[in-house]
Amino acid sequence: MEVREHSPPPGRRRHASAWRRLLRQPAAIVAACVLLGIVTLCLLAPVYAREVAHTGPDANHVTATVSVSGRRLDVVSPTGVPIGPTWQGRFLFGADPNGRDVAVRLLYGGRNSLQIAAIATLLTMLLAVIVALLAGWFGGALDALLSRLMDLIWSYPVLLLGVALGVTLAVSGIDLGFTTLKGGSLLLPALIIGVVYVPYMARPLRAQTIELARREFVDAARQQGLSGARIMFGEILPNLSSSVVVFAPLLLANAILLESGLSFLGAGVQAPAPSWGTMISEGTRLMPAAIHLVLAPGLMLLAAVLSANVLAEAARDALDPRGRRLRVRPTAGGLDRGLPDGEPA
Amino acid sequence: MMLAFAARRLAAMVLVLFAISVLTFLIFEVIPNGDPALRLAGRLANPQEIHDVRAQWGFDKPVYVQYLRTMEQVLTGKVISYTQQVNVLDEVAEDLPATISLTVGASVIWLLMGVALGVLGAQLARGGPLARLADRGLGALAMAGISTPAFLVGDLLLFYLGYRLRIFPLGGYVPLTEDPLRWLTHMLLPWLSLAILFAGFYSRVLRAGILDTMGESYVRTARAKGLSPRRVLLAHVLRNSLLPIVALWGLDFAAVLGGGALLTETVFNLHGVGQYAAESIQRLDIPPILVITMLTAFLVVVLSAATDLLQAALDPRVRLR
Amino acid sequence: MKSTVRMLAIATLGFGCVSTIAACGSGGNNGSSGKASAAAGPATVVAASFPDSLDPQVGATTGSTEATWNVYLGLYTYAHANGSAGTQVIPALASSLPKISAGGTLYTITLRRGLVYSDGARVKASDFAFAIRRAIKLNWGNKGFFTEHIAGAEAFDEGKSSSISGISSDDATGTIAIRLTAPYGPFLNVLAFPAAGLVPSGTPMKALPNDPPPGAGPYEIAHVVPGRSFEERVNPHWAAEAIPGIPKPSVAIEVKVQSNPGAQANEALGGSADLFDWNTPLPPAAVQQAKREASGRYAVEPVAQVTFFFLDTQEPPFNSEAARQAVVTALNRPAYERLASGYLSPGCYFLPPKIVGHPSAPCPYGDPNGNGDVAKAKQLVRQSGTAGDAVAVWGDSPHKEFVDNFAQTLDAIGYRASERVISPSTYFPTIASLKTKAQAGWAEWVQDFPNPVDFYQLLNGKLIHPEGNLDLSLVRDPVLEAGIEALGKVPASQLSSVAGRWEALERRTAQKAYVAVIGYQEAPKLTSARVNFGALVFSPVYGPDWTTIELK
Repeated sequence: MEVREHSPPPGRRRHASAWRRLLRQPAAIVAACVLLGIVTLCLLAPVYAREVAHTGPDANHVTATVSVSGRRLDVVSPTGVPIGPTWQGRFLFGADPNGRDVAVRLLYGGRNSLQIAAIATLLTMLLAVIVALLAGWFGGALDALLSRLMDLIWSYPVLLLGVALGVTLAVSGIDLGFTTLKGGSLLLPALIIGVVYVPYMARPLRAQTIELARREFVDAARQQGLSGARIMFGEILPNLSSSVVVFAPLLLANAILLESGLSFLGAGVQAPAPSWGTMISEGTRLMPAAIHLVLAPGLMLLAAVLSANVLAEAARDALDPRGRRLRVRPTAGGLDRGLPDGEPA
Repeated sequence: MMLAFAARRLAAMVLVLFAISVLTFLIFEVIPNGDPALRLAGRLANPQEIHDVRAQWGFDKPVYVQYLRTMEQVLTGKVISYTQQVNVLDEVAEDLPATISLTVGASVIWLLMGVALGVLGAQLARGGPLARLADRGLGALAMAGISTPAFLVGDLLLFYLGYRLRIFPLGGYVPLTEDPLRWLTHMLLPWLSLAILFAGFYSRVLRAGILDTMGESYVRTARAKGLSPRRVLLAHVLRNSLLPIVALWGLDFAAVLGGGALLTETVFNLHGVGQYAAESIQRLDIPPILVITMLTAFLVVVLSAATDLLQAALDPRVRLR
Repeated sequence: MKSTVRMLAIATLGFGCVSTIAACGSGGNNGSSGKASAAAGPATVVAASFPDSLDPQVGATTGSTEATWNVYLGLYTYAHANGSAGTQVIPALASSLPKISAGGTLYTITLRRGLVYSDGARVKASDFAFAIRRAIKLNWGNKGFFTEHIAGAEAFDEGKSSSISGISSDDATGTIAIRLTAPYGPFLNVLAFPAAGLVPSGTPMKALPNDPPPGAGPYEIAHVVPGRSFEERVNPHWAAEAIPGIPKPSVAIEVKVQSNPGAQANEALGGSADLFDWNTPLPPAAVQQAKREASGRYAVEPVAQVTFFFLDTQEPPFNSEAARQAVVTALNRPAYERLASGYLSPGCYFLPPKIVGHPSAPCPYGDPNGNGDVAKAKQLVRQSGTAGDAVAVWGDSPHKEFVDNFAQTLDAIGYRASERVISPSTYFPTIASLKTKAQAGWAEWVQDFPNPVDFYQLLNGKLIHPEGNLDLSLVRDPVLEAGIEALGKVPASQLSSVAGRWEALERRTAQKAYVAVIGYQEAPKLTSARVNFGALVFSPVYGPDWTTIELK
């Protein structure tokens, strides 16, 4: 019983109450619904393309016409101005310079953006947990090595690093040894983003691991003769889980932002595949002719990131009400800021 | 203790800069089609000419020799870019006024906005139901600021205030020394786009910090001693809650100054250090990328050490490690 | 023969080009040495990108030559006139057209008397040889025009000789003799390159982009801010009487870079800049505005340029003639016209309309103004047995939309197309390397000089190189090679006499579908209201002629 009092109970009760706290926040519920709605819409992209817009995401209609309230209009004018929103099935949000349906590309682009962000988030969490456990548990030389590696990625200007990797790998691809990623693969930006954010999460988790390793329940486990691996994954990892959960939506928000930044600079999703970032960049190029090309993906992006950020804050409040052990801060996504922002020393 | 701290930080800085330079060099070394000799030799060079260029620039040497050679040029200020074949440090110096203008202006705005909104939010949070509602509104605004990429804000500001209403110029940079008024009109939108991003973030951190500190015993004591709420806020609460903000501000300032604002600079065409970096990456031009990456890292490391010192000076509880 | 793929530098937002300054024109008259200009000048030119180099012996893009051809006069230059009159080579520093020996290999030229550079130094006959040596030493992108045609230039390039044996000069009499390795028709055009523009002997043998050397033309370059701006002042030592045919400039020029095309157009339309740089098409929104608000000061000028997609004729699927025919048949050229905001006139022949040899016969695979026959093309692809092949289409980022459209066409006719879009600065070295094995891709050719042989470098199997390859379609056609060899020797003055033979080659190229020609680019000529629009000459070779800018 002595031990119990000082160790956080690794049981379910804490999580259950956290869930209740989370569900008591209306903002969190709204945010979750918005995010879920966006994900669902994007997953339904092929259905929308087939049933409503009657065109695929890459189909060009430069010289086609479309009938809007009884009038036949050029999809793209002779001087290259694409049609704006028609508010009907075909070209709901207008066309892009190639005469492609913006609404269709918005959904397919969202699929790409979200897919990249989700994979990147999972990758970051996986790598960060491994790094944190290894560094925190074993300490010594391994800790020093991993910590310096984290410092390195940390001090490297994030966006520069991402763009540099994105541009160099976009065409050539990369050979990872066990598998080869072709240039233009969606996994490339996911990989880049995933790695870039590892230190952001690994650092606080490592500190937490070190703290946990000194706790009595770990001592007890050690005395019971459990192996290091079992203690790491069986005893410490469950206690890190609430932090990991807090990080997830935050990482997701930042991954979406970083992806859009990379794609905006041409270092993310490669043509002809759409993503919100590439779509905004196309709209920027056409300024001031077709602001719908900026607004449509821009508002989707904002909605997705905002709801993920709100969710992140709600999760932190719910899981860590006193804000003692873990202070995760929302970041500006590493966008236009050299450092992902974490816990200053 | 100060000396040991400085020495440790200096050693760490050298190490980080070294590793970053190696990493940058490697990223661009391993990619196919990145052979700078082909670009330097002109688009129609024969094999002999390409061979000559390779020898002349040392691309035929092992990677580590090339690395050492480039680093020597960087450190002696003689590094030449591959594409335009001009001194990179001169180019960076040329671009710095725009970047400094952006950084100083935007960082002042985001600091002031962040602090004002943060304090206001904390005050409102401790008020009545209506005030708490206002606090939530502020929180939502801050969240929206954090969630919007700078290029989106920039694009929309440019479109509505530049192209539509024609109040502001459509990007570009006018040196302060040439025409202060036009410098200001050219900088206002970029400042705003960048500041919105950070201000929302700072206000959240500060608000949380203030609310935390309010609960501390010494604040309660101060209040019990009969100090006015205003004095308590200024003398005790704000003083402590501002510390992390100062640290953040130092790092962000350094990152933006070192070319971190490449999206904002690109959208507004400021042609600062960040835009130079973005363009150089597109051209796979290693020397400028190397220089700017190291510049950023250098500034970040130095300013983070400086903010640590500042924090230690302001708060005796912070110990230098 | 070697040359450079000179592209119209079209600015991508933020990349590949440098930038600055939104509103200008209010800058004072910073010590311009022109006389009348004091009242109104300088005139501002707003460019999308900074010239690749302002050093005449380095610069090789249209952005550079537009700026340098009036600063660095060589022995010959182009007439300052619109349309085909502007393709005529006229004597500049030379007193007359050259005396050419019967064999066509010896050119004897006499320098005009009393010429001085902008710094007051005397122009000497030996400066010509120096300028050629300097261009070779500084690896000018098109130096092949010198090394392959001037005797001894190759040996100089390889370091086997410290001078060029084929060039001799006498400073006292001002005579220059140039010996060629073989007769070369367009050699006078070669001498008219700004890279052959004279600079004082003793100018450093290193690139001077930020502090260009003095020249003997009507303008001198001053105050270069790299990547941002530069000025051209009227050369104080320029005596217009000395060289007939070259106008005396009335106003100093201030060139500023604005890489955002929308902002660039707005400046010219709004009057804060006097001349819109022709290297960028006006963005869509601005075209409508220009037609509406600037009708008296806006025109569309033809450019001797061809836009095309190359097709690797050595590898499947495009080693099949039927497959290539299918691609050309399916092209929707009007779509590309819209992608170029209207600045493209569709066509199927490789030579642009103003170039000798452009056929008047109808196109072999359908009307270029039609939307393409996908059904027929599909059938051709099936016949060729290449249906289902994977094709990677290459392009540079400013032409991403073109690549998107082309890849869609390939998909529609039965291929599986993917895209490789990369930065403009690495694009040509990449596709010009045989290692890349580019199957198909966007490309364009802007003339070096108005002669079909300049274009046919791109279809000459003898010029296939492992790196820096120009024959992007890898065409190895003996008929074309023999024709190029024979017709290349014809002097520019007699070009029209062989127009029929060039046309025959052109029809063959189109018939075999070696390249999928899209059309020919056009350029905007747009000035502010205070510029005398009618007087401004649009040179068919170098674009707007700054010496003819007059402010009202």
